[in-house]
Amino acid sequence: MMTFPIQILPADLAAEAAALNAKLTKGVDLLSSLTDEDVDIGSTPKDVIFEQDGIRVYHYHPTVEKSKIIKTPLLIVPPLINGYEVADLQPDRSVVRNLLNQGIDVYLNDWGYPRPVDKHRTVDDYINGYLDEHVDFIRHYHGVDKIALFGICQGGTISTTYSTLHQDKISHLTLTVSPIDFDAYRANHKPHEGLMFTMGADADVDKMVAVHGNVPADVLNVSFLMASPFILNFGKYADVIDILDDRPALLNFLRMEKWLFGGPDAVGQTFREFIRDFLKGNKLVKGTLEVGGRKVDLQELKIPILNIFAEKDHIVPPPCTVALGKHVGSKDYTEFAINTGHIGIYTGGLAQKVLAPTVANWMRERGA
Amino acid sequence: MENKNPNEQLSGVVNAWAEMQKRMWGDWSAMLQNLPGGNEGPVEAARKGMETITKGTNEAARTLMDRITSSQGAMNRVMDFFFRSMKVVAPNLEANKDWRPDLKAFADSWAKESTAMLQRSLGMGAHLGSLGNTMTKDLPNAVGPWMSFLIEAASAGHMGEAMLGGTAGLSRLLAMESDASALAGVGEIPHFGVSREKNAKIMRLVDAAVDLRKSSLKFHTAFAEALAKAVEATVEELGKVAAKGEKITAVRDLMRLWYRTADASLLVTFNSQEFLDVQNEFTKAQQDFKLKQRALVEDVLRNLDIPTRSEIDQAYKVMHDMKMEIRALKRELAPPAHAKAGAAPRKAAATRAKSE
Repeated sequence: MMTFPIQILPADLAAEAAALNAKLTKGVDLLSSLTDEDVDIGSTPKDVIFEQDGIRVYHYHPTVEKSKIIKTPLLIVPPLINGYEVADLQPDRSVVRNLLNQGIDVYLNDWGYPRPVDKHRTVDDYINGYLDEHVDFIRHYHGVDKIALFGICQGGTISTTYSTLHQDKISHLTLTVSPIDFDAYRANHKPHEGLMFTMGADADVDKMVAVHGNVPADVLNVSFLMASPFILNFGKYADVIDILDDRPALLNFLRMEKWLFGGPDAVGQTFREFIRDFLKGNKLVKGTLEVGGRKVDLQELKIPILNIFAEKDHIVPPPCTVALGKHVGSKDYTEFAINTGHIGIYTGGLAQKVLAPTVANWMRERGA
Repeated sequence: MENKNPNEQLSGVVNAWAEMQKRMWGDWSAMLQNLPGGNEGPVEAARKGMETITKGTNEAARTLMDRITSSQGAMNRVMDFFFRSMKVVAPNLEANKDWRPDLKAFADSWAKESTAMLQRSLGMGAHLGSLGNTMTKDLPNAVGPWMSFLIEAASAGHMGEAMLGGTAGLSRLLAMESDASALAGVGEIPHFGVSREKNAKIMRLVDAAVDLRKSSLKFHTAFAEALAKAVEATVEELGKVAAKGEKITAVRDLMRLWYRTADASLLVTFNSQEFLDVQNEFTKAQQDFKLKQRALVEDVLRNLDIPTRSEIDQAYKVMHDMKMEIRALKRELAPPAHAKAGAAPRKAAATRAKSE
């Protein structure tokens, strides 16, 4: 006969409750002492070198001596639907700092928080408008003909499209967990992968935009939370009690929460076009995408490309990112896998060690 | 000492779980008795107390405490459901018998119970409540200042007259009590009364509310079924734990196993086309309801000459198009100089730069 496995004795339960209570009490002391400065994200020193319509370009202060800095500057392009701070969450979990420490001159595009008045911005406005102006400004500011791009998730999709259309201005393209083929995960579909794409493909995006205007970040977060409803809504808040008395661990947790739930709304018209053309239409890989009246033909993209993906990525499954290799015309295409998840590629311990050196070495080897 | 009787064991756990909650939140309540919310139960007292204690500190910290306290109630309900289902399967599991028929019966009965509860809480009343709010709360808030003006303007006559298009009072006010009637025409406001067109808009909103009610019930029933499947998966998992001769001795370990297993099971359901269809139907019904609600509100606003959301959107579009056109023209007129290395662009750029 099998013994029923739940064997929780009242005395153990009382002890468990007392331990939790003690942690909560200590936690209140710590929580009440925290200030906004303690839970700061995106704190690496920088200058705002360009600002327009609430969109900014940052130039980060170098951390190595001038002679060691790679001459080609690198512009980080974050996604439109998440805060840029994922690349600079805290000093010891910062892609930005790691790139600086590798001698890369880092710029970053902060897309900001769109207001209702911005709801009519299009994909063309972002790619051939803002991003192109930023690239031109940095080329001028830095005194170079070409710069390198580094795309974060959807920012990589945008960077790929931009580079295809403006290849004369870009020398190197690095992508991180960037969706290119939005259908590729379906071929060998695992149930825990691609829920966001599956939900997006079925959504009536016109109606969504008609109702919301700019689509609220909380609405977008639903598809993320649905990938693990109990753990993300209850479990992690039960577990956080364990670290309430551990200041560094608690601050790490709070910074991630701040980034996760503090994201911008998605600009209505851009969201509509992105879902329609990139996600539902999968036009980037079908060769039917047009932006600003120009056809985006990935076969024309011939610059060196470094495509970095996360092996445990359930948000942008690896097949959706590595599909780029089949479609680009570039003869210098490299893939690099990191054994982590979608967010872990920017904030995880392993990524802190390997991502920036890989990018720096790859750029140096290609004369950057 | 190990308890061999699963029913006794589970009853003990359920009682101890309730006692643990009572003690934990009771202690908090006692500690926070002088803080707001003390008379609204221990969880609410803790939540409000935490708001007070952390007031002025970091927003992320305050949000976290809010999430911990709010998730507590939901977590208790989930655990209560879980313990109830475990009591059903435990005797069969212990005796190595097939526990699925009993669990299926429990899940069916639970889904029916949940649906009945949802019918009560999410039924027609809730959506008609929203409709009622639009008519009685949102609209008066939006048009309040205009109505006050109308009341004042129509003070010579009466409010009903003004609402039906009577403009005597307004005309008198705009004419500054004189005989000069040049401004009087401005005071003509359109009829605000019931018309066939307006009735049709109200009926479309009622239809949307009915559709929303139906799809809401369908969605929540599908969700209840998904949870029942998650329990089934968790029982399988407990069976594996038992087969290995292992034991779960802490509530939080049990919660973790339930959350992990349930999430994996739910994810399979959420990805199924059947569930996606139900979810989309619900989402679209919500969106339709909002759009019909807006159509009615905009009709009223238009009649009162207050800008509507649609009109503001049109203005935004004009502003956007003009902005983009101006920027394109500027770029054509003064294309950026692609400075070569050695030039001194940084100085020029520095005028726009500021430190963070």
